[in-house]
Amino acid sequence: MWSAWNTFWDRLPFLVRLLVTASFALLVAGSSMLLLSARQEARDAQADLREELGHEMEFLPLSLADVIVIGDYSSLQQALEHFVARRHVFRAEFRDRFGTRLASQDHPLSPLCPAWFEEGLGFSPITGRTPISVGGRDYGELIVTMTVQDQANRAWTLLLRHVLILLLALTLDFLGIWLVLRNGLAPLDHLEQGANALAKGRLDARLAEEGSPELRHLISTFNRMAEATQSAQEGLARSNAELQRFAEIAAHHLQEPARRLASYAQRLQVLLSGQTLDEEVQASLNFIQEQARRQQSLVRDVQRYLAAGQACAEPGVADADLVLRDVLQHLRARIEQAGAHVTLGPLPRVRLDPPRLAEIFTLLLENSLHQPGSREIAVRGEVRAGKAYFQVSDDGPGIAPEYRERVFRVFERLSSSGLGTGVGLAIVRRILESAGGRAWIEETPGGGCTVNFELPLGDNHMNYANLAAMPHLPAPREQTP
Amino acid sequence: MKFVLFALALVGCAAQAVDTYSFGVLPQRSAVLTARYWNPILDYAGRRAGVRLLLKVARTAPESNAAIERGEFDFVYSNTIFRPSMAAADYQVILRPRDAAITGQIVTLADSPIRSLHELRGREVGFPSIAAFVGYAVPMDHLLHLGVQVTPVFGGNQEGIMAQLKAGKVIAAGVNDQVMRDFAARVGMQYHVLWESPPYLNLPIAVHPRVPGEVARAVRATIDGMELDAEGFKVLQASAQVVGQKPPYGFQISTPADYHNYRDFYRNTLVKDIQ
Repeated sequence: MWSAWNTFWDRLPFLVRLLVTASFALLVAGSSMLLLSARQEARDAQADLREELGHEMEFLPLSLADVIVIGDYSSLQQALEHFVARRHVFRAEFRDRFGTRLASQDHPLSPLCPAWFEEGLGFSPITGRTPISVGGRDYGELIVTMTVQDQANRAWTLLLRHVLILLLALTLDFLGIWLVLRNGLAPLDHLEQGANALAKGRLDARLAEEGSPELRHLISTFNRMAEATQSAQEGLARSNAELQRFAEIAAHHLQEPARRLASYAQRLQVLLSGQTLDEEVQASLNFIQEQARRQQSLVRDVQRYLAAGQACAEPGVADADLVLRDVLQHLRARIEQAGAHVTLGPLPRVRLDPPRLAEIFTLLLENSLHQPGSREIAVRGEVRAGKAYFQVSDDGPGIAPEYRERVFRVFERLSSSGLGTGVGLAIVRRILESAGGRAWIEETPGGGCTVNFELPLGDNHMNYANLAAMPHLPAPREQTP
Repeated sequence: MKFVLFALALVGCAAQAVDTYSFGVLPQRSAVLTARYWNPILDYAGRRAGVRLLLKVARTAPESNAAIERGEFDFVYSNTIFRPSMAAADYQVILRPRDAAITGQIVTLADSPIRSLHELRGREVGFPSIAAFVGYAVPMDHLLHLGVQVTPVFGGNQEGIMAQLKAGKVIAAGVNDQVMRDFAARVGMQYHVLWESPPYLNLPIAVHPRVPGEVARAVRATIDGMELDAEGFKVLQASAQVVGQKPPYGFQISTPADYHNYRDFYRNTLVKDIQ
């Protein structure tokens, strides 16, 4: 129960907590004060009543003694009735030693307060008794009951008034705190807006210093933080831009020599094709061609990697189903050649330009096709936790857990003899991270590799077009670069 | 066995049962003072005599006299029993006070300009009650014999009219000399006696004929012997202090013959409205 209360309390806004705490404190203090005050008044009333009763019991017997000694009970009855008209006297009676009882009519005051108030605070009638003894003879007993009903009524009326005042104080306290905090904490809304602007990349967001000194100091600190972040971001952007530019230029300049190397290696192969060549010479020639092609592939992939972080088209929503259809068309020959079977499921729309989404699917499918023994490839998607979630699974050899993160690094290959430059998954991750997504690898149940990735959802995210399994895709022809 | 125990209980109860006799006192003072004076005496006398004596006090002397005339009380302390109207009740004197005889007086405050009875002609004079003997009947009889017509004003009882005299509500009052003296001593009052009657024995204690003889004799003997008994004397002394009475205290045995002058007065008085 305590933890449930803590959870509930933690969810309350600061203003509500403050209002509840302040109001509760005022209510407890005020109520305690009122009750203690009423209790004290009751005690004082009882004390006064006791004193008054003592006074009456001291003098009343003297005033009634004559009548009692004479035995004029008629006059005594009248005297009792006359006496009970006095303030606070509820009842007066006389009992003689033979059991004869004379009593006045009860003189009750109308109660204005509830019974629990009287009983709880001790507003109770008190009774005094005194024997009537004259000259050593016991004539009987005088009994007087006094009531504090009027004081109880007064105390109740006063309590109600005080309760109203307390409620008024609570209301004013409530309003006051709400007004002060609403106005005083308004700058916090601006601070929140500024933080959101920063989070969205608007590093030029600055706030006007307003509010209490504490808030001004906080806003000033925020502005300094934003300025430092903007400055660092701009520096980083400049540095990244320079690196990007250098890498692009380097890749571009490296591409030409690689292309010429491959071209001249092929030309040399053609020129020497009519001659009988030494095995070593032939092997060397073949190796030069192969490495030249590899260099070209590496430089091309480096260029692709560099380009992966930038949108290739207008940023928008991509229909993953349509994009995947195109990709499968392009890979038809490769799929047919590998004898593979691709299974599809409905895919959600994503917030990513279509060309880069296509590159993701292409790279992942090519990866699966490259795996020895990989025949069944499945592509599935769903909306999960507000994101578009995809899976590309194969039944190949899979990737050991210790390599599942390494393979996302540039130039990381599980085997040097395999196809590919080891940049594909790095490109996939770079595209995803630039669009606010992520990728990771799990083992396919039953064996194989499953690459999972997430992307922000596009509008009308689920496309339930009939893209069920397409088992009859003809094997595509491999495209030669 | 149960029957024996029951019988013993009955006998015990019977042995503890005490006869109760009423003791009526002429209201010369307030009922409380009367009770404070008489209750200790009656308690002592009752215990010693083996009976219970219950004090009865009327509000006024006329009421008391009416009760006496009806024979309501078993014992009475009153001098109105000698009136002709009281003869039927036939109360018999058994005790009288040991103190000196009382007289009727007509008194004024010490600083009053009234110095003779004739100056009272046509004026209001206070008296205890229409039933008072030395307080009303005797002084009024004298005034009538003198031919001094006054308008009587009654104060309820002896001390009542004395209090009115002290307060100046009446210029003169007819009083019992002993009660006057005791009252004046108690409240610090100075007064002047315009006239004083011959002495009359103070109020007797009398018994109704219905009271068994042995009871009357026991009560008489007990009260008579109070002065000689240590406890009894203390009781008398304490009661005397209540009303400011001077010694001698207590009562002595008496007979109706001791009060013949009361009867003579009633035979010859000019006062016709004595109650």
